Amino acid sequence: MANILLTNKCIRECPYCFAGREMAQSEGQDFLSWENAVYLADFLTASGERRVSLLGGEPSLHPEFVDITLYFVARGFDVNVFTSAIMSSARLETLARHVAAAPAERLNFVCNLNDPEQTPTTASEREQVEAFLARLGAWTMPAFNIYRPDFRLEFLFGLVERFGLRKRLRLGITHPIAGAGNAWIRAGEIGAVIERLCSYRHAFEAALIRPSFDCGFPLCRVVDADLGWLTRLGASTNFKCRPAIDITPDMEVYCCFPLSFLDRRSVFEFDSFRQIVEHYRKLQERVRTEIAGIYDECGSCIHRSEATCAGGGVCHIVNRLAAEAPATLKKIADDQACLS
Amino acid sequence: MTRLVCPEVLIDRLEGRSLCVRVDSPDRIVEAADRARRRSPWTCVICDSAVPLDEINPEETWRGIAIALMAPSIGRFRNLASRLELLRGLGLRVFLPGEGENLAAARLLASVGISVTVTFDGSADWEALADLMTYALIGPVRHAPVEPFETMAACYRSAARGEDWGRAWFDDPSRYLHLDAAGRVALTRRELLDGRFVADGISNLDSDEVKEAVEARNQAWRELFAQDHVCARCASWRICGARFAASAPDGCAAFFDETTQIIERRRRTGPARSWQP
Repeated sequence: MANILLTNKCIRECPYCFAGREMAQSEGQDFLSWENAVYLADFLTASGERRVSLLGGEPSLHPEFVDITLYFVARGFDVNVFTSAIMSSARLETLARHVAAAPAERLNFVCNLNDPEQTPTTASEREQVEAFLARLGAWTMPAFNIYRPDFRLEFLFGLVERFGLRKRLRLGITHPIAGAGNAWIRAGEIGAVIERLCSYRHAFEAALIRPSFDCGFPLCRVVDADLGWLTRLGASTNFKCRPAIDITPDMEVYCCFPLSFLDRRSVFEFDSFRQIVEHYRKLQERVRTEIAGIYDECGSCIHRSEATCAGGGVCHIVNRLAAEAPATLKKIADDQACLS
Repeated sequence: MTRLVCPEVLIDRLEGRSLCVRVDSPDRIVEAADRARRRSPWTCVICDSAVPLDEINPEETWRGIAIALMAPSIGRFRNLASRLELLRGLGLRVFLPGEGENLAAARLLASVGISVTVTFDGSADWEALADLMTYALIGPVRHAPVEPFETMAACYRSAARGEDWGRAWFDDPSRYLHLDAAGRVALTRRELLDGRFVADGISNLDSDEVKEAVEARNQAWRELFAQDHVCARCASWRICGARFAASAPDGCAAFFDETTQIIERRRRTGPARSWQP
């Protein structure tokens, strides 16, 4: 699925932000143009893609956010919008009024929610988030980024119940962005994080909420009992790390935010979305020829060789190479630049 | 048969003629169509709207009526999104001035299945138009027609002077004559607005002077050769027909040259066939 960045601007400064470096260094145009929106809709349609994610920055900052969102729905895409839900009451009112006419099964807001105590924010922002959830809860899937081992999920269960959110919780382990200094979960902490996550099993079961793993969870750090519980609950487990394919407002494309400094291309260089995915899959493979995975044992792991597990996120490996072997990283970038 | 582009007030006086009735408000579309239908082999209703497309409420009663809706812009997509199904089901073509944001808007409308026409003159942004033309003719995904490019392609002859594609704009005297409320006859809409008439009343519609004026216009291109006009030496003349000769435009030659190449390419590869809602 393509991730289309409607804008590079964001309203928040989350300590774990994957996109912070990309946002800070962006020199391109601020907002996706209509010409490019139509081009991308055509490009993805011709490639057989029927799903698209709209994100940012904060996508709702795009002056025509509502219009572009409805446009992709009108073009027959299933649309995920990743949002902080922080927006003015006027913008929320406009959004809610027009979204009401869109088919609920085709439009989904993925709302990144931060723990109000562990990641403090202003009262005004909290009010805006709650106002969003009150109006658009039925279209909204909660999402939570785990960036500290002592994370807490209690507030999320409360929000799902209170605002009637969709009963699937998107969970991401935060990853390192080389040189960005963002907060992230170290490889050695992931086991404890997963254990803590599974300690909420009764709360998940009571609320009938199914976890949905984002990329980079390593299979070996989930014990069999928890794996069984997740399966029975209908969780969407994911132990892969595939190219996310992020497309910027000025039509640059890269593998994912953490790898955005490696091999940026223009969408116009490619004939199909599949070609883009294949291009960045090769980049990931190339990185993994240097270091197989985030743990020493990844190199000999049957689950990695059988592709059941990716061996954690490639971004961890890139981060390590950036610190320990920058020349190797440069060689990878140079090799990749030779690919056409 | 020559079609007469006329205001609503002339319908009763043009019985038996093929009409394109011009109204100045969407509220008039149905009644004008009904009246014209009863009296003539009626063709379509041309509606000049002062407000953007998103401020116009299409109605079920418009079904079965061929409508050329001339709007200054499309407005905001959010206001159109819930009406797309109805708009697609109507015999509607949206006309937009081919400038600024309207070029992107034309592509947007076509991509959601609504037929669109852009109008332009010799001062057009030819590069932007070329982008739209390329999308219209060889875009990767099937979409609604974007005129006048489809008509350009249909009229183009690779080995001879093509037909006049101005008919996509009702601007082809051999097919359309324009009448004002007093029944005066002009060869084009522009000439009607400028007060340049070739006949001073409906009674002269079939006169020799009108026939001669039409014929003279159809042959006017010959004069460019006699004058050694720059258009007569332009390789793209076969497709543009020197339509913009009077305004001595800059950049049209490259645009029409590119259009020719795109048309030839489309003839080789065929139109896009990808799925489109």
